[in-house]
Order: sequence, then C-alpha cells, then structure tokens
Amino acid sequence: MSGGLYEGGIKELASQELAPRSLPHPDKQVSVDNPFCGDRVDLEINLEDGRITALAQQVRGCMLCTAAANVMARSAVGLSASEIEQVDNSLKAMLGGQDILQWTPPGWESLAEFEPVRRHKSRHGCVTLPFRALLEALSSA
Amino acid sequence: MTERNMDTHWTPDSLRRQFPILQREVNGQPLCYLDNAATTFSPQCVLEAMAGFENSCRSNVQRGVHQLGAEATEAYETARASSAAYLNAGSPEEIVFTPGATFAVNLAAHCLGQALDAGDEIVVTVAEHHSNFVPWQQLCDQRGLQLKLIPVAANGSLDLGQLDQLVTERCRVVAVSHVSNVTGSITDLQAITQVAHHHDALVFVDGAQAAPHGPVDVQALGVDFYALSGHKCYGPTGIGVLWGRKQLWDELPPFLTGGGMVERVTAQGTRYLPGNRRFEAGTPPIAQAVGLGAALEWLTVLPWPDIRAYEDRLMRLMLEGLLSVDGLTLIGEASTEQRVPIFSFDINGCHSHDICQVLDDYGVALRGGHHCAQPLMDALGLVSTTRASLGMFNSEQEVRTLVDGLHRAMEILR
Repeated sequence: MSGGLYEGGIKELASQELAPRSLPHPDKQVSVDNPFCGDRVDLEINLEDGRITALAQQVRGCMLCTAAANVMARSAVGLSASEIEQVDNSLKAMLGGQDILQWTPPGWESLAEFEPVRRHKSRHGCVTLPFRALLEALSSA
Repeated sequence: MTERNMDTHWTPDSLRRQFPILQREVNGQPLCYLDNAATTFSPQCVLEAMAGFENSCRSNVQRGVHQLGAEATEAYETARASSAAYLNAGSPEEIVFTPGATFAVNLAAHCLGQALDAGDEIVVTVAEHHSNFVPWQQLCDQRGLQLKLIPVAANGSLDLGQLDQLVTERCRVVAVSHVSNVTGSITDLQAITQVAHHHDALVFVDGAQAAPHGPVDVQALGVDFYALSGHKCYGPTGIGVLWGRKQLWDELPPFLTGGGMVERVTAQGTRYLPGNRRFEAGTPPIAQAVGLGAALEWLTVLPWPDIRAYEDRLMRLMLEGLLSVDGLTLIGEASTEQRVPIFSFDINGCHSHDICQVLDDYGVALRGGHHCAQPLMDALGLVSTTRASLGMFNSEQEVRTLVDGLHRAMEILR
C-alpha cells in the first residue's frame, strides 16, 4: 500500500519550492535523468573552497523526487562533496532499511519523512535522483 | 492447426476464466490489470502448450533424428505455421522467430542497412517506441544516413500532411508502428505504403500493439516487414515474430551467424541457408515459440466481431470516465474510431508515478512514465503520462474501478 507516502511530510515537502531555478553565473551545471521514468533534475551550483555556496534546480519529477530535491536545497549550501556523499549514503542506508535513528545526519532530519518509501523499491531512485545530480556536479568540480 | 484446450464460446466472463492469474488479489483488492500494452497474460491453453512441450518432447529442433527431436521440430514448425496464418503471410517460410519485437527491429535495421549508402534516408515517426526508433537512429549514425521524422500534431496524433515531402527518392525505409503504444491510434499504413512504394522504399511495421487486437493481414496491408511481440499477444516472453516477404529474406545478409543457419561450413568460408532459415542462428526459443503458436491459434479462432464490439463498449466507457477527471488531458484523439484500447493521459499537477502508486492500492495496475517514447514526450512537452491499456479480458467494472481510483487519487495527491 502507498499509505504514508502521500499522507504527511512528503507531500508537504514537495509543496515547498526552496531553491531558485537558475543561478546568474553557475560554476557547474548538470542534467540527470531517471531512465526508469524519464524524470529529470537540472541543477546548478556555485562553489567556494570546495563548498557549495549557492544551488538552483529545476525538477521535472514525481512528488517523491520533488520533495527530496527541496530537502536537499534547504540543507546542501555550505557542505562539501564528501559531506553530501555522507548524506547520500545515509539516505540510501535508510531506504535500505537501516534504523532511522542511527542514520539521520544533523541538519537533514526531514529526510526521515521518506521512511515510508523503504518498501517501494521501484521508487528509491525517485528520492535519490536529486542527490545523484548534486554529486555529479560536485564530482566534476 | 493442432487441437488444444480452447474455449471458443465467448463471453467476457468465459474469457476471464481462461486466465488463471486473474484469480489473484493485489493489496487485498481484486487484481485490475490495465497494463496489457506492456505485457499481458496468457490463457490456460498457452500455459498448457508450453508445459506440454517441456514435459513431453523438450529437445532441440531441426537436427535430431530421435523421436523427441522430431516432435519438437514439429511443434516448432507448427508454431511457425500458426504465426503465418495469424498474419496471413504467403507461407510459413516468410516467418522468422526472434527473441522479441525489439530484436526484430534490430535485425531488420542491421540487415537492410548493409546495402545502404551515405545520403540515403530512413523515415520514422516522432511517436515511435524507442525499439522502432533507436535502431534506425543508430543505423543512420553508423552509415551516414539521414533520419527524417514524421511529426505529430499538438495532441500527439501523427501528422501525415508532410509525408510527400518527407519521403523522397533517397528514402530507403519507412519504419512505423501499426498502433501507437502511447495514444492507441491506428496508423494509416495505406497512405504511408503508397508514398513509400512510389519511391521504392520498404515499409517496416512495428505491430507490437496492433497484433494483440486481432489477426493481421500483411498482404492486404501491402507492407514489407511486420514485427510482433509474443508477450503482448497473450503468449510468453522471450519470443517475437518478424514477417518479411520471401524475396526479401532471400536477398538479405544474415544478422547473427552460427549453427542452425548454415548450409556448409569449411575452413575457407561459409554458405548460408536460403530464405528465413538464415536468420535463426543457434538454438531458438522453442518452448516460447510453441507458446506463441498456441496463443496465436487461440486468438485466430476468437469471434472478433463480438470482441471488437465489446472493446468498443469498454473504450466508450473509458473515454467517458477519463474525461470526467478534473484536469485530465487525453493524449491523442478522444474517439473510439481508428484506435485500440490504449489510453494515455496527463493530469495537471499530478505525476504519473504518483498516480500509479495510489491506484496500486486499489489493485489497479497502470503504467506511468515515458513509455519508451521520449521523442513523443518531448514533442508534447511532457516528461511522462499515465497509461491504461485494456486486454480482451478486462471488464466494464474494471474501467469503473480505474475511474473511481483516479478521482480518489486526485483527492490524495492535490
């Protein structure tokens, strides 16, 4: 059953568009697709000393993807590539079934709202797509 | 045609009883399977045909002289004859078994491409499934050919108005689907064939979505190649058919090489078998072919006028129900004419995967996404659509279940 996916936090998070759609002078631009459904995240970032100073994105995705992108937009600024990688690993571990209290990194508590996605393996890629975009942008930095 | 356990007395209920999988539940609800354009189910007679082969005569075909080999070969060739009959081919020698429709397109593109020169043109439509788009696109990239696209109208329907300009004397192949896997629209093959043949271009037809909806007459269509997919025709996965006119099989070079397709192999070279046998290298998918043969035999004897009338009733109900959903835009024509029961739609503010997820709670199996038709999605300015595709076993109640579920999904997702 989809119970929990659309009844609370995820829907709320998806409705909060927090990032601008573009940056005036982005250092990095990437566009990543989910081949499963065609969803796409176009992402731009600015960097200083290896840390994200600004982030913009356009998300053409489902509610899960949009909600995850909004969480990322709220908390990614100021972090480095290795820190984003830790968050991504924690998110994947949570989706894989790890105890929710053990994985939530500071500042990213709202990712706990995605716990109901655990049992829908075909939707994990929806949640992780924005992070894949950000890591791709950071890896090309 | 072999005798099988076929119930040809047709009512919607009697038909449903032939599909064992329809007995199961999903999320505590009766299964309401509306994803038949992706893969449909097999009736009991098909399951029995495959089990019968596996249990009684499983062995390799063509070369065995033992009893099982002879029986396996007979079963395999019977399936070829059944496929030829379903398509009204000139003879079973015009049938090539493939692992699926995608393979069939790749086979045709590769083999036809060997004789093409830089500057030659291939024409496809914007609305093609990737399976009938990418192989031709790749062929053009590899051999310096030009890929030309038949456009779609704003609603996703094919726009054949520019056909005369698109198909020129340099055109060698026009590759089109018989039925769109997104809109369900039936393509005007007569118009396309007329223009293509005027320029001596071949017409390749992807029949994956048309063949499940009744016997096909390739001779009447006047096309040159026709591909179908087993698992969309109530048969097993891993099997498809590529029909081509006999003369074409005799002229084309092989696709894959190896055992089963050679006349003589020496240290100096290889002489291939003539005709269609040249295109079935290696051990073929025998049990799958037997299953597909049974499925096509089953389809052949169904009372199609009755089934089409029933499908028409379901399509009217579907259109009426879908158009009652607030913010729903149907892709393609909102008509029951010149279509099969495949319906794709966009609902303003709701993503197809979220819709499919909610509907799954009600036991309704839909498909969301780009349906392997991203050029069409780009033309429509969409990322994805939701698709409901009916099989002949679907009921009026299931259409109502879908529509009720969509209304509930809107309440949840908006």
